[in-house]
Amino acid sequence: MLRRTGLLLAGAVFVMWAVATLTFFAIRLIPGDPAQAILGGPGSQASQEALDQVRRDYGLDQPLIVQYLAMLGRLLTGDLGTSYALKVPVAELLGAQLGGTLLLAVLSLAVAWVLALALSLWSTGRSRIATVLGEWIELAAAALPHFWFAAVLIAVFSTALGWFPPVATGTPAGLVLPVVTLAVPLAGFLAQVMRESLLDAMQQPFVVSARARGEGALGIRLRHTIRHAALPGISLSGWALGWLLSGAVVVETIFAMPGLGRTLLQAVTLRDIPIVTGVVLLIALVYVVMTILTDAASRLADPRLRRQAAAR
Amino acid sequence: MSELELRQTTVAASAQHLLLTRRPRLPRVGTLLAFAFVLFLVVATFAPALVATQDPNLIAPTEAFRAPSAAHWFGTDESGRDVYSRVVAGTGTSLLIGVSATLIGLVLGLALGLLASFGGRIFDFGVNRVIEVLFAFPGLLLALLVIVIAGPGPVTATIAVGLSTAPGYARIIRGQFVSIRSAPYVEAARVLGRSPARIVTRHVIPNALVPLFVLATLGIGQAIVWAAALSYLGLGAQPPAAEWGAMLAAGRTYLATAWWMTVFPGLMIVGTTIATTVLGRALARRGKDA
Amino acid sequence: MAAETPAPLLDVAELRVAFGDQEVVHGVSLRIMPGECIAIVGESGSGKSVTARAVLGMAGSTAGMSSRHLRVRGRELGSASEREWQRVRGRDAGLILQDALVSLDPLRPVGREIEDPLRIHERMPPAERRARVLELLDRVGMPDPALAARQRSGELSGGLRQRALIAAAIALDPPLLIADEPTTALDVSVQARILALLDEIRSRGTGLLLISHDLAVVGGLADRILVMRDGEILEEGTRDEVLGSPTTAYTRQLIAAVPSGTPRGVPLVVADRERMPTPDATAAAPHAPDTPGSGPLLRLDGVVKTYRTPDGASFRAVDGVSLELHRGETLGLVGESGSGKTTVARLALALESPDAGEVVLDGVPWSRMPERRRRPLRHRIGAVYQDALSSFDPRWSVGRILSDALPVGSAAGVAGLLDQVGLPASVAARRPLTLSGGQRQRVSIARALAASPEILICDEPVSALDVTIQAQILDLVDRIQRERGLACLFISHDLGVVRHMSDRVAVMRAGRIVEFGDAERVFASPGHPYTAQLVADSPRLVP
Repeated sequence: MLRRTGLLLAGAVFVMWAVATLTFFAIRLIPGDPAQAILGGPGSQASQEALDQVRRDYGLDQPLIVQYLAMLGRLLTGDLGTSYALKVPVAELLGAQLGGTLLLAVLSLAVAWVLALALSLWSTGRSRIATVLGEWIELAAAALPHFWFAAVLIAVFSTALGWFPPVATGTPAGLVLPVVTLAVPLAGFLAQVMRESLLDAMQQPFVVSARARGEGALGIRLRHTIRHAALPGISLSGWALGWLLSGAVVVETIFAMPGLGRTLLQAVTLRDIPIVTGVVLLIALVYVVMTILTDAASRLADPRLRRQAAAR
Repeated sequence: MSELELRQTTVAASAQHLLLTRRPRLPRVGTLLAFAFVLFLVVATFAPALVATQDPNLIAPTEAFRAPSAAHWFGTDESGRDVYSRVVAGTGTSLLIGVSATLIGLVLGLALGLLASFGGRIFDFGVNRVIEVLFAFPGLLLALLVIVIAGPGPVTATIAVGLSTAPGYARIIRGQFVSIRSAPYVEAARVLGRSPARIVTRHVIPNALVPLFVLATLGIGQAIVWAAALSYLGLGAQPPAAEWGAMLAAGRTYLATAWWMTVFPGLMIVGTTIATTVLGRALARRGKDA
Repeated sequence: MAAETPAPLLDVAELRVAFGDQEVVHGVSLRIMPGECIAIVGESGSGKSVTARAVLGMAGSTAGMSSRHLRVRGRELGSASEREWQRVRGRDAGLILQDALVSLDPLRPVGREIEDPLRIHERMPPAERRARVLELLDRVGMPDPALAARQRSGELSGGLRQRALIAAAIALDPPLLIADEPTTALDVSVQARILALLDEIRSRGTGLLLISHDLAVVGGLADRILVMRDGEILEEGTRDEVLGSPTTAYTRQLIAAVPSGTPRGVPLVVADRERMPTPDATAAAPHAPDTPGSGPLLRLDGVVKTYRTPDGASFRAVDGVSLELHRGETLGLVGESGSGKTTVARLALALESPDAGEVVLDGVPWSRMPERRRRPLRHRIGAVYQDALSSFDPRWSVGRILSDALPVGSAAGVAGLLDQVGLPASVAARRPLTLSGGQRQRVSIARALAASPEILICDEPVSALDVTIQAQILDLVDRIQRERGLACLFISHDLGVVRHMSDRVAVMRAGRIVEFGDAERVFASPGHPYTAQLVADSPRLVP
């Protein structure tokens, strides 16, 4: 058990290092002079002395390998550099944004889970109509592009009905539409996976045994098959969070919410490299942590995984 | 023989047993509809003039912001252009991006998967780590990174989406290879004295590639969505291109007054995704039953 | 005052079950009294499991069931609603399925599974339930009830989890118990103990309906036997009547197909046996090698194979095994699960190399040879596997499979092979998925013969087959082995099969050979206590 945790942590550290390295060298591929960008962009007419000064200040005149090691060193102390455009430390900037994005992502994941579970439990193993309906709903939901879905939701619930604000207001009401936008397509996908698992579980001999003890349909669902249905959902949660973080980029932009996604988009447009690097690293970190948690949760929920590893 | 009183009883309908003897499937109707839709898309790609009602680029300022009607099925946009015809015209671009991105992802994924499976343990280890790392850049992020480097535009968007789907394919392909190489029929071939090369070419690769076609069909829908997302954010195809994502971006500003500019291109994306998924599943089912 | 005749626990008349317009049970009648064991014996497709389920109202949601009457404990349930059935299940009748690994929810502790009927029917408070669970686990012979109750089915051994499954079925002491293949997934020694447990439960007055494909298992427990085929009861009577003086040809076939009672060389298929007026005397005698003085064709010399578990421990699957396989003889290798016999097969086939010791083929080092040099020689050893279907490329037709195996693939060659294994040439165009289990195994044998091997290694070739089909395949393997003078290594967990097929036998346990010698001698008077235990535990047709 300890050995496995150790391996996972080592793997996580490796991934973070690889991401940092990849980003570093990828960034170097961006055309244009970073010194110019710092001074306000290509049209800034900066003088040669100013450029040289900036290069010295930011360590841009050092050989590549030195810059690389310096960056790694700074990372270890949590220093993500300073934004070119906004001139504030990146770590501070992102720290403020991280909470908002995480809240959005986690809420959406929770809502998606509940929706997916409810849909698959309701529509499986009963009448044929319920099943077909359930399958089509899942399919349609999973096919909704969130940028379009957001627009539709705004048009209907904001503009037409006025129930929810079209932009984030910092109140819970302002979170409803963004969360729904992200949760529904994910729920569609999760429901499909859960349904497969549910159907498989329902045909297993242990369901026959349970019925032979007098268990009714509801009891079978709640005590037996729901657990089996949820298993793939747990192991997919890591990937799901990644998908949600991607989606957050779009959703935060549409709803004008403060968050990593919107920040990233603006930084990409402005070629603000420290911020891009910082966001990428942060998201990678969140994802890696989530993967470890998901792995632990899966093994907790399904004792067979624990045994499988030991017996092989 | 005495007369038997037979009391016909079907196990009560109210019981709604959980044990189904057959898995229910989407009705055949769905598959036919999906096929018809895809056919329409193909025609729209190669011969848009056949299905478009008007010139997609015809600017008519007096006709701007017309609601859907018999003359303009999907209404008109801010320049008076017929939205339906523009949607039809954009089909080619959108599909091309989606298919190309999927191809890029598949080829890269195949390369990585093959390398991992047949390159020996070091390559397997290495490629697995690379895939893990690439996975840490969820979806859009990798694409954004590519765009930061290479600049926006439809070509970069395509490459970006392709790159971000590659790790997913690579993982699946590698998994396929791994499970097939330890399959009993591969061992049986070894017992018969077949060389590794022969086993790989006649058994491993053909069986591993079987599900790929289905995967690709399912992937096209996703690729189109991601590419459209990039265009929507202004990083892919730019307006006035008739690409669906770009049209959605253009329609964003007029959402309150001209909802049809947003709804219909979006519906096309949704429809394409559903259609490809349904077709992909139908293919998978046929493959299993064959 | 005359004693009242007790009411039957189960009284079914003219039970019919149909799926759609396909009837699978055509009018079955049976009656079970307290303390009685009724057995339904049949092969796959006979409808015996459907009957067992139908008697509890669980034939399936798409099934149409009808009967003249269906009474459980005197209560008519022929047109009962699902609600009414739920009250009966678990309280008046319990069900025991095969393979507790999947018949108990792998995600729940077994204690919870056993608590279920207590909770549903009696509404016992939790503390009382838990106490009763411990009582029940103790009653079924669980060594550490408190620990077991917390464990899940996968954490318990095969025998222990089957006991847990039984505990769940008898939780409310139902007077009727239905056991559908309760011991099929178990090792012989474990099976014997589980059957003893069921017998003990029966002796306390519980009525037992036992469903099995194994006549020998049934013979030990049943008072009455019903032979079922294609949805009908072909024959019924007391155990002695059915087993001792069967009236139908099918029953005779079933009895003859049990290998343990039949000496070597006598075909198991009745029709073939009847063609031979006297047992082949030469066949019964142990085989001497064809050419005197020649060494063994295949020799394993002190081979050791160790596997590594992920947490670093090592596990010796084969711990110093030495075997000799001579031309023209069948060497049986028998052992329970985990004994290492499959690993021995893999070592003999050079699919794995031993960590110590070596394998020698006809005097030439086999395990030490580099694979490049070994490949052209592999045609000398053929293999037949337990799961024929998974040993075929899923995309290939039978014709392609055989043609690929032949040195020169030709339609005539394929037809010739098919003929040798008793299949028509038209099978070549079909895919293995569309063939029956017996047909697939014949194709597997044909493939093994394609390169004209001198050695044949059969790893549990008939374990997954019905008894009558098993008889046909065993006869086929035997005939081929004789006609071609093959050296055959026959591996199985079934003592009866090994006894019937082998000239000499090696008994394996925990990676070692504990006994070796002439087959008849080893089984008739075993030298090693483990062998004696195996023989004693194996169910026999006539106890």
